[in-house]
Amino acid sequence: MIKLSKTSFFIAITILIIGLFVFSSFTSLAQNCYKSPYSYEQWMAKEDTLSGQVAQLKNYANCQVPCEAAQTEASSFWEKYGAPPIECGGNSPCCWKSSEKKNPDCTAQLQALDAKKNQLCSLCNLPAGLKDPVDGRTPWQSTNITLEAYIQSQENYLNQTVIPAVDELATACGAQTQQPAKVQQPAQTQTKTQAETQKAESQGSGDPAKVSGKTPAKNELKQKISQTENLEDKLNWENGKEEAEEPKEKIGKGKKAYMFIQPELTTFEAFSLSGEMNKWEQKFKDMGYEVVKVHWDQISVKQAFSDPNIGAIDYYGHNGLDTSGSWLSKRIFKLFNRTPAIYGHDADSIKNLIYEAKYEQYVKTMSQEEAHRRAWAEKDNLGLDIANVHACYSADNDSLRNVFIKEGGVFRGEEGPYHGFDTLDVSM
Amino acid sequence: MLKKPKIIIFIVVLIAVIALIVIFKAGGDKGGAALPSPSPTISEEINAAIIEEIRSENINLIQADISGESVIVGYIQPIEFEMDDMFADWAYLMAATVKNAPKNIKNVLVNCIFENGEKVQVIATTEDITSFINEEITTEEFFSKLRIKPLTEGSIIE
Repeated sequence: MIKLSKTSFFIAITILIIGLFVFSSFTSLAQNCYKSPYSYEQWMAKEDTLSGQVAQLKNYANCQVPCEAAQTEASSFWEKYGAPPIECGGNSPCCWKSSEKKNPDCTAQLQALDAKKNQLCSLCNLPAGLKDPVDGRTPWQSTNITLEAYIQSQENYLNQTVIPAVDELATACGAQTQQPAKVQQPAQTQTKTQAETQKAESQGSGDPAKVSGKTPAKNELKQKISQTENLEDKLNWENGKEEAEEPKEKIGKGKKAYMFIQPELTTFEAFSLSGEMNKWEQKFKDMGYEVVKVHWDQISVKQAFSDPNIGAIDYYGHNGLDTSGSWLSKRIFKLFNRTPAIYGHDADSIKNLIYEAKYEQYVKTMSQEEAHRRAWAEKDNLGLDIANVHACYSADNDSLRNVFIKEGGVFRGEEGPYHGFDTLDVSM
Repeated sequence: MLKKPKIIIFIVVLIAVIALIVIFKAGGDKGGAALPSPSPTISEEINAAIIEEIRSENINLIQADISGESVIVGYIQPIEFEMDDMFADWAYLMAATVKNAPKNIKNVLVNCIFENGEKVQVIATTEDITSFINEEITTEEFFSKLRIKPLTEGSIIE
């Protein structure tokens, strides 16, 4: 009896521990993933504001507000954009459809606006749209978008789609109520700006225009930019961190620094790493190294590891030890196994790569036994001056350091997760 | 007699569980970047023309402010993109801003806000932008004069 109850007790405790552990991993993951600047209360307040705005616009678009109120509201929209308030007579700007005074010349325009109004009405459900469109969860619970980005997208939607659509309705109202000059708001503003600009230029004071003529179109600029390759290598990044000075003497003279980039990086990841890459490319050159930039693949790795002139390596990419499985299994895996690795190769696996590379090189000029003997003897240490591993957990222990670096060399890595814009924290 | 050891075991296990949770949380992400509070604003000081002009090129503008001798424009950058497209957006935003900004403005700061919440600030002088647009300097020269300041830590390269 006693034994049974003890067993039950331990089973219950074990279940409790596992339960807490799983719950904790969920909580921790959520915290790590979103890093939202909003608290839940702030988010709700934000949602309320947005919902309020949308409800107002909905009423406005559906003519559910008195004409005078709608007119005032329309005026405030205009004021927001720096244009004079419109006068709509007795009709609300949104009520053009029911107006008896429809201007026949505006039929086409009104038809277009009708389509716009339908679009606007489809936004009436925007408060509901604040939920995740896929599964109805609020964005902060969702896995594929940060809360901040989601709110910004909603605000953009309001600013760029909803409000301009309402403005267009108001414009139509202006067209019917003998305010033709004010209907052409964008053109008028543009004309005014140009006129002011010219005036300012002639007077030599006040407003702008240092750029001659029109702003070039984006496509024009893109064409121009596309003609220059690897512009990202030219950018000057400032990450504000103080770093140790590299040796002034040319320690890399006659040696090569291999910069490896994981080929599967997304454009965003490649962009976020480009600051560090540019900095290190310059540093290696300053130290006298010949820089070789290659993707991390079997051929380039073998070439580098068998190169007698290799003096440094610098890796940019994922640790790669947990590329499969669910996020929970990855999380648990990472909890117990934060092994330094490059592209899925831990220290032992890298020793094998070194052995293979060296053996294939040696066997060209000596017997298999001799090639094996030499490669085996050299596989445990590549004898580099510098090794940087821009990947998560690369400095959680010294296993990679011991494989790459010779006595007196420097290994740089990251303890814990590595963030793309960041420099490496650990030097050993 | 039996109850006492049970309580002791329970307390020990409870302490172990709490310790485990603490270790788990401490051992995870080092905290990452605290994202600055977003403040998408369109300053009334900025001429409406610039806003019209930028939006006409499908750039998701959310911020246009004057701060001292600088204009700060912010836009949302899709997370899936081609590098040249993003660079063209920067160049276009800068050109449109310089064209419309008051004469005392010396710098243009483009807040490039990625859809995943990461942010960088791209800084250029009006002089360099003008030289680029007027083709007095090459694209390469212009981009080598830009300064990129990360405003967040960057996403985890796990």
